[in-house]
Amino acid sequence: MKKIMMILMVAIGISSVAFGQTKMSKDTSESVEAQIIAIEKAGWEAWKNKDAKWFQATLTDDALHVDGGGVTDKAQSIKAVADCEVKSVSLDNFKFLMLDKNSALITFTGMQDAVCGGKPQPLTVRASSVYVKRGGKWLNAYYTEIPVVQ
Amino acid sequence: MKKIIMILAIAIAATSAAFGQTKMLKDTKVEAQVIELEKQSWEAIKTNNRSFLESLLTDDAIAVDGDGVAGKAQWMKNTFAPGCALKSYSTDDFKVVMFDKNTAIVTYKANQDSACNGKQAPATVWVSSLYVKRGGKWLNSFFQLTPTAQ
Repeated sequence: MKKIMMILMVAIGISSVAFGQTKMSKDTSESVEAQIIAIEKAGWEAWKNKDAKWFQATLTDDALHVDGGGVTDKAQSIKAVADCEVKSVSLDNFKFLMLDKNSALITFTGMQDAVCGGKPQPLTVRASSVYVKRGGKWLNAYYTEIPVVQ
Repeated sequence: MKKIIMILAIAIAATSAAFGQTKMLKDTKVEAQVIELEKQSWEAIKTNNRSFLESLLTDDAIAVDGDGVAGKAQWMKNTFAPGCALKSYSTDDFKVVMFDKNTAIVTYKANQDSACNGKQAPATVWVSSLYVKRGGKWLNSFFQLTPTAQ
C-alpha cells in the first residue's frame, strides 16, 4: 500500500509539473505562433464569408470583442457577422507574445474593404487577439481593433 | 503490477483533466485587484509617477494604438513625453474576464482630458488591459485604446 501511495504521489507530481510549467521552448512557441496566425487568418476569411459557425466553434463562451461601439459578448459578435459585406481582407505585420503555456496574444495590421451596417469600415486597422488553449484547442477569447492613423 | 499501472493511469488522467478544464473562471478578488491597478495606473500617468508604471509593466509588455505597436521602453517614453499631460479622467463600465488563474483582461470606458503638444486625445475611449500573474504579482502586459464611435 505504501508503495502504491508513493507511486501515486510521484505520478501526480510529474503530471502537475508538466501542466503547470510556464516556460516554453522556442520551438513550441514558434509552433503556437504559426497555429494562431493561421486561426486568425481563417477568422477573417470566415467574417468575409459570413460563416457564423466558425465563430461559434472558435470563440470561447466568455469571449469579448472591443471596438469603437463598445464591448460585445460572443452572441453579439456572432450576430454582427451577418451585418457586414466584406469584399477583401488581408493581414500583415504580426507580433506574437506568449502569455503563459495556455494563452497568447497576437497583434497585427488588418486591411479590409468592408461595409458594416451600411457604414464603410476603416481601410486599415491595428488589431489584437488573445487566444487560450481549452480542451486541447486554441480558441479566441478577446479581440479589439483601432483604425490606423494615416 | 497491473493494479499499479491502472492506479497510475487514473491519477494522471484525473490531474490532466483538472488542468484542462474549460469552465469559466470567476475570482472577484482578482477582478477587484486588476481594476484597482488599472485605476492606479491612470493616476500614475496624471501625477507623472513613472516608477509606478515602470514596475507595473512586464518586460515584454506592448501597447497598441493607431500609430502601431510600442514595447515597454517606447510605451514609457510616449506616456511621459514632455508636452503630454493628462489633466483629468474618469473610468467606468469595467468588465474582467479571467482566461486562466494567471491571466485576466479588463475592459472599460475612460473619459479623458489629455493632450500632447497641443493635440487633444480622443475624449472617450474603450480600454483593454491585460494582466498576467508573474512571481505572485499581477503585472500589465498589454494595453490598447479604441476611440468610441461618434
